[in-house]
Amino acid sequence: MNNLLKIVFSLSISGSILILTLFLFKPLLKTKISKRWQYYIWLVVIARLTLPLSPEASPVGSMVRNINYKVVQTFIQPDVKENTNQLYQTEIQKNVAEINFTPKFNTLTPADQNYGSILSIITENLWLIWLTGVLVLLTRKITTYQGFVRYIKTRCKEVSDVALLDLLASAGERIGVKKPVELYINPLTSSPLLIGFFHPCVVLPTTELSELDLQYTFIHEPTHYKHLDIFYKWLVQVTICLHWFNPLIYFMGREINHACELACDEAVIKDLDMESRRAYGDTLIHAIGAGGNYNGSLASVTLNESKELLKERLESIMYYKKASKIMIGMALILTMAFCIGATVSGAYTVPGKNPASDIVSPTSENNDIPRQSFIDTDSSRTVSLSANYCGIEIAKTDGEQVTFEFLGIDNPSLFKTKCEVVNGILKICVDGTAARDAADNSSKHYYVENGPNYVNVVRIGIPDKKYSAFSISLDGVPAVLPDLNAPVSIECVEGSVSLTDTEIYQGTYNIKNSSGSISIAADTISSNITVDSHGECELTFNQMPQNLYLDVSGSQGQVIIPDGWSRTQSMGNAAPIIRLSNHGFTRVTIKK
Amino acid sequence: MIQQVSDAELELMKIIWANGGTALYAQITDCLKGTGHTWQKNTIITLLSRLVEKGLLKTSKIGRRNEYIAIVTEADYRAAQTKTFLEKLYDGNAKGLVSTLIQGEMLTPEDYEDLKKFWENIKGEK
Repeated sequence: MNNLLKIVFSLSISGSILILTLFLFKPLLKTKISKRWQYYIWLVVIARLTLPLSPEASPVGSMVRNINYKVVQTFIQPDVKENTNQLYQTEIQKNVAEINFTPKFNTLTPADQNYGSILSIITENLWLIWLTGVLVLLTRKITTYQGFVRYIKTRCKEVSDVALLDLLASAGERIGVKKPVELYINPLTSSPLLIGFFHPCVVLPTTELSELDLQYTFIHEPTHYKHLDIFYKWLVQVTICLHWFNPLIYFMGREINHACELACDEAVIKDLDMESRRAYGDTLIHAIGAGGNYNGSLASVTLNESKELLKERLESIMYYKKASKIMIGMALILTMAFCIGATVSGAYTVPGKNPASDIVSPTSENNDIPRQSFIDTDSSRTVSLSANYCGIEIAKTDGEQVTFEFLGIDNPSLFKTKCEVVNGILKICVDGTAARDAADNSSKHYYVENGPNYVNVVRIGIPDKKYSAFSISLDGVPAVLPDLNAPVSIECVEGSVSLTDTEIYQGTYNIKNSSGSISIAADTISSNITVDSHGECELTFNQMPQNLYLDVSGSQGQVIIPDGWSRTQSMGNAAPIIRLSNHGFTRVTIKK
Repeated sequence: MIQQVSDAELELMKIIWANGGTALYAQITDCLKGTGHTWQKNTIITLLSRLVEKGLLKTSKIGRRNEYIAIVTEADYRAAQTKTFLEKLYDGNAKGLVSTLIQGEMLTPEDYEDLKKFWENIKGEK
């Protein structure tokens, strides 16, 4: 799944939890807490729905990560199992010492890959569907609103009765609206309304209203302007567009519209006596019957619904009580609790790993939680990485984080990971000694395997940037790494090193292995590589190289090179220089 | 074509014209108080901005204060309004208007004599 979509999806889940919480508590709080609170608390939900900020490890964040893995797993797992058995058997037959390092690549059959790729095409393009939905909805909302405003304006007549203008001006002064409010009359509107983001304008269906009705209308409508309700409403509309696939969002939209009117009513009546409140209620009733109706309003509600809303409004007007100090305190505590809830529920943030690897990496269920991550913003850092008793796989990530992911590990707590800066050098350590010991005690064969069927492997996510130096030291463990943008030096004792990428061009490599296997494979290689080892050494070109200087003259034992090549093979401009000095079995192959 | 303005707007225009075609907001409110109007501040501003929108006024800032400048002179406005009125009621026939004025004794014999002299003078010059 596309990262963008994952973020939106996780925001939607997080937001839904908050929406449900507010709906759940609504009956409890409805009459107890000010309408204003009930209106503005939704801003927290909107913030949660729109801002992709999240604490490092959040429930929703890891939930989305898990969902993602499970989807991938269900499709690939069955076939892989057979593979696993085979591999186990072959490995056991080989019966290699305590730790068995066997990096395997591309062991998925072509059929698996097809299955995976169809699925991945769908999931990778899901975001397009989402984005199209967002744009279509947003455009429709904006044009509808523009049409509505145009409709209102073209059939508007300005009210030139100074007495009415004065009434509106003094009402504005009373509620603290400094800006002059324009007054229009339009017999086609269904009820008094306010338009304009910056130049407020009250539109009346008729001026044939009692002075009292007019007075309350002139307080009510500019109060909307004072509360910046039109901005709030548009914020809600944009949020709805972003989360159009979430049915709860529409309930939220309706609820906020209601809360908006209730909060406005509350602001109007809070300083009024009972008699005036009754009169205000009358005004609301009168407003419904006056004038035609135009059904294009952004915030328009159906007649039935508006009847329900009106009932609720009248009720709240009559039962309004000034908030006690206890309730104000309560409101504060609730707000804080709700904000904390909103923060903690979190969202999916782009994790420190290569999204493409999702598709081909079936992992056991709980092991993909990064146990530790480290943010390193230094632009070109020296990195020193060491590993003991566990396989490592280095993956380049988009973020600034170093992350650890546990693949094929039953008990991640037995694996120690460390990441720190010492004397300006970023030191990364992974250690599975405890896991090895535990395996010994239970007389289980401790086993490490890289490749699609991970066993006891820690995937280390490294920010994809330039490093001034990258040194890797391994003791009896397999390591898989992509092309890194650094001078890379690898030293290992009885380990296996696998350098694979489609293109190896960014780094320069110096690999030393006292005994073990080294495998280098890519479509094209344009980096200088020096290998000094005892054991197996394989260099694979997936395509016929154009430019190359290959020197295997330092190798002893069996050396297999492509037909017609010499031990110092020079092609094209004789670069890069690849020197293989291996004592044991050396093979250079060209796939195509 | 000068747009129609309301009575209240015309009142404001007259104040500005009487003030020499430009007036500050404070000057306008002083004049309004003099004529016994107690309009609200925002009412006046709304009316003035409508006049700006209709193209009879323009504003220029003097410091933080708005100065309102008449784009249309009183004479032009009267001429235009009279023309509209004439078209509407007398189909453009000015004689009809004058006879109504005389018949309704809105034009006294002295006024009439004055006008005649005024007319003879203009004719003599040409």
